[in-house]
Amino acid sequence: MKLCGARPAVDPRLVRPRWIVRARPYLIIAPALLLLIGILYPFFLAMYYSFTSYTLTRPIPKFIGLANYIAMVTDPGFLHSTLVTFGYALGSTGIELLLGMAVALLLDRETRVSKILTTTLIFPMMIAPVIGALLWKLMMQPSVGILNPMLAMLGVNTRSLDWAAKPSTALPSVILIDVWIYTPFVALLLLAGLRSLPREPFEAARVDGASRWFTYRNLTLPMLIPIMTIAIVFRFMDSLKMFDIIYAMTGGGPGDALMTYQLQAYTKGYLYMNLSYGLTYTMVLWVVIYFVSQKLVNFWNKSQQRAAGM
Amino acid sequence: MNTLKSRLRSLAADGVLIIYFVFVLFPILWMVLTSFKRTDELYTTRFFFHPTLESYKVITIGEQFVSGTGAFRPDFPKFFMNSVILSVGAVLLSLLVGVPAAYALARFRFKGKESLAFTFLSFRFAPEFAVIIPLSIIYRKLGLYNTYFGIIWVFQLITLPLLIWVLRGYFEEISPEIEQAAQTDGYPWWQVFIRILLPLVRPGLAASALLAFVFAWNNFVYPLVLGGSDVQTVTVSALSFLSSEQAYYNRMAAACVIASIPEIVLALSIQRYLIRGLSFGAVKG
Amino acid sequence: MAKLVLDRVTKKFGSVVAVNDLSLEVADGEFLVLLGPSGAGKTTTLKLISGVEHSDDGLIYIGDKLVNTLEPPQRNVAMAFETYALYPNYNVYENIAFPLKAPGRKMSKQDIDRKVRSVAELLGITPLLERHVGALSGGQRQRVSLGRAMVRDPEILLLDEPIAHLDAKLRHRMRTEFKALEREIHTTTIYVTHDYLEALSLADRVVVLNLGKLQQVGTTDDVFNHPVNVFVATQLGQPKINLIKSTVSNNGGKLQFVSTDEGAIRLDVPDRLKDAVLKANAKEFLVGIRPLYVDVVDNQAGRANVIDATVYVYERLGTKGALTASIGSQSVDVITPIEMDFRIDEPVKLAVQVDNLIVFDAASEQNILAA
Repeated sequence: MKLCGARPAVDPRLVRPRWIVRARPYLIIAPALLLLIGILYPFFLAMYYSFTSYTLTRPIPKFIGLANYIAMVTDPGFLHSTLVTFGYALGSTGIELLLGMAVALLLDRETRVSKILTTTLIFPMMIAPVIGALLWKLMMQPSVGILNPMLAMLGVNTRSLDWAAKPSTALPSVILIDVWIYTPFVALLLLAGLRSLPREPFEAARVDGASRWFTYRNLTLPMLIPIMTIAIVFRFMDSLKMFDIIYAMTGGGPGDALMTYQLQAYTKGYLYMNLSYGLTYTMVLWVVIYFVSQKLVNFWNKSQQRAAGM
Repeated sequence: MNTLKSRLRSLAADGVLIIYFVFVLFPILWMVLTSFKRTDELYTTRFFFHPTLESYKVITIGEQFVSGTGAFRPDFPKFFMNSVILSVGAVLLSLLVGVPAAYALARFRFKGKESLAFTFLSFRFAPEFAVIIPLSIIYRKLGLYNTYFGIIWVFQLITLPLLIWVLRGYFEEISPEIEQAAQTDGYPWWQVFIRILLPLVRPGLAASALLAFVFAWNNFVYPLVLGGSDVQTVTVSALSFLSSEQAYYNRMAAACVIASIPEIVLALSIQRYLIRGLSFGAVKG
Repeated sequence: MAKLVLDRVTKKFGSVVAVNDLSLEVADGEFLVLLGPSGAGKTTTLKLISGVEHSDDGLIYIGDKLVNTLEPPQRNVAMAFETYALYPNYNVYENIAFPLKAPGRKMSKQDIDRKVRSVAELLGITPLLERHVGALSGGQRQRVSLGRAMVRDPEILLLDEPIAHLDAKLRHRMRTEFKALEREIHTTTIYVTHDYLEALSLADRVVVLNLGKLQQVGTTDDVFNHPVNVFVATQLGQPKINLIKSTVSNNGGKLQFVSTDEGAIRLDVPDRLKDAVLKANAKEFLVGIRPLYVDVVDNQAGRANVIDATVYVYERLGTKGALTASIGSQSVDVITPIEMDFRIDEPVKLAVQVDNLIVFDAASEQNILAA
């Protein structure tokens, strides 16, 4: 029983839902978009300013093209800043990955110690990085701190060494603080990953008589690659732009031993009020972060698919 | 299977863990101890001392002293309130904006959806000074410098990405047919949202809101640069006890302890959802 | 209770046309079954009727009201989803009561309680009322989903594969329950299934869909005995209807279907089909005979249209047997009484009841009678 015969085209107003229904998705996302624009505006402004000359003494920005960038790159301190920035990021991320993996493996057991430790692991993560840095600053202080006396007890003579005041020990000190605060994050992340691994391949490997190291290297590790990538993305990106810890510890010193890009941006852009010059450092940092994170996220997507296929 | 060997191995593993345990907890313990030390006993690194609440009294009641940032009266209760107002305010704004956005990203299909989602995520990784420097100029012009709203607005860079990404995952887990059933049963879309959807994402909502609160509370740079004495937070104030004349480490320690208590309490309550929140939903743990 | 009209309704998802120019009229109180394989557009059709999906083209009338622009809460339609779609945050009682508490409904608590309990009683889930949804088995969830749809008096009741995920015994029982329920609920009902037995048992009329297009609509007798094309014929009946590719030849004054491979099968063209066969412009035909219209005989005495075949496989299925026999490269399915027994490769004689032949044009796959 079909209604047959051609009929005139239907008035779309009868067929389509009311406009407010169609507009609904856009209205729902509108507040977020407004906020987005409100946040992106300063960014684009920053980008623009970095191509101008905008300082306290010259409060009206004048376009000068790449002059700021050239000045920054040719500054003798730039190489050092780059080394410090990446050294800090690579050092802390690397150590956190290794240490976090070790801790995660040790925690993945059913003993009472591991359960208690898993709970307490969140403490360093929840404390403000600034405060975390202050804790260690307190301990590393030669006169008040407990670190040197304790090391002395273990036979290491570092009496009256001010860890933060010597250029050679300053970077390791801040890396140590970063490791203290963030290794739990990596460890808990990897632990969640370990706990979510399927059991069958491991049972099969055990039946086949594989050694622990073999199992670890060829089963566990490859399957954990997606999660390790996430850990690396978060830690590397965050440590490239770390400010709080270094500022609290030495404010960039001693001298300019710890002048990472962000510290440069703060010092030159904010303290010395050479706004446009300070922004160039942030722009370079932002570009690095953006591209590296894109690459890593792509890698993560692919590695997820591959791990699922295992 | 050599159970003795494996038992020894397990004990060794526990031993290593305990060493790490000490590494993790000791600085915190030391901070708490220091906060109870008398100023004259600061320079003796002894575990046994005469505990006193002097530091706590000083910072809460407020005695004027000179610090590196000039004459300064630590008005700690005010700082604490500021932190509360700013963190709660930031989270509330993020909830208002982020919950609908997360829902839209989970359900609707439109061009550029993933780019939009990635843009929100990218806020998390933005170098602060790229935003701070222009904002410090804009805020002064708009009169937002040293205001609650100004800081709450900037805090969105920290709180919003987290909320959107975690909630998006929770929304995606709910079958759209449940919403369709509720609509067919006679409920308009906003009632479906309140009665059915929100209860189902409540754990994720609570966890990410609390985590966002912690991040906002811990933030140092934004209140430092864009805020003045009116809105100073506890986190910023912790640093102010060190000056070139006298470093009141015990007071600093007391400030650190007070600043850290809320977040430790909160973190313990969302333990279960912690990993999922911290990794922005990438890992379910 | 209302009648339902779909007028040339189309729905696309991207480039996939889920419902293609569908037109349908459902009478008030009718029990209509939508039959078709997965992907036929059955669920989408239901969702278009309930308003959860919006059609790209075409008009939908419930009662005499044009409902295209109305949102689901404004159409008085109830639906039981194939995936159940129960509310995880409520228990069974609250799930069923949920529609009755919708805004705009002013029912007293006692009335709601009465209705929920009577529906629960009907479906046998009264002891489950306090349980949470997560603690229910699949069959229980399906009944809760049904209860939620039935608890109010909608103008149209939509049931999407309501017993598909139950085990065979429960399904059979539910089918008979539905039949009994049908007499009690006089609501216009659209019932979706891919199981033809449910269609045959429950339907006032059957609508057969394929890839979004309407194939045939009619009573169970219409679609079973007078399928309009090969697709409809194969949708109903298990084992499927036998289709033998044949040409027509004039064998000494008698019109016969001759199978195209080696002509091993020869069947007389029945009188009622003679005109159509001659009029059809077809080079080849698909001659269809359902397995229940083929009999196994001992000898040929006095019977026409007997085929010589060999046993390929024989399945004993409780109350009947299913024999698959091969003739050359063709195979024919036959339903036999359970008492029979066969050995593989045994020769067997099959008598075809040619009065029940359904013949299709091999090229267009259309029934030659449905010109």
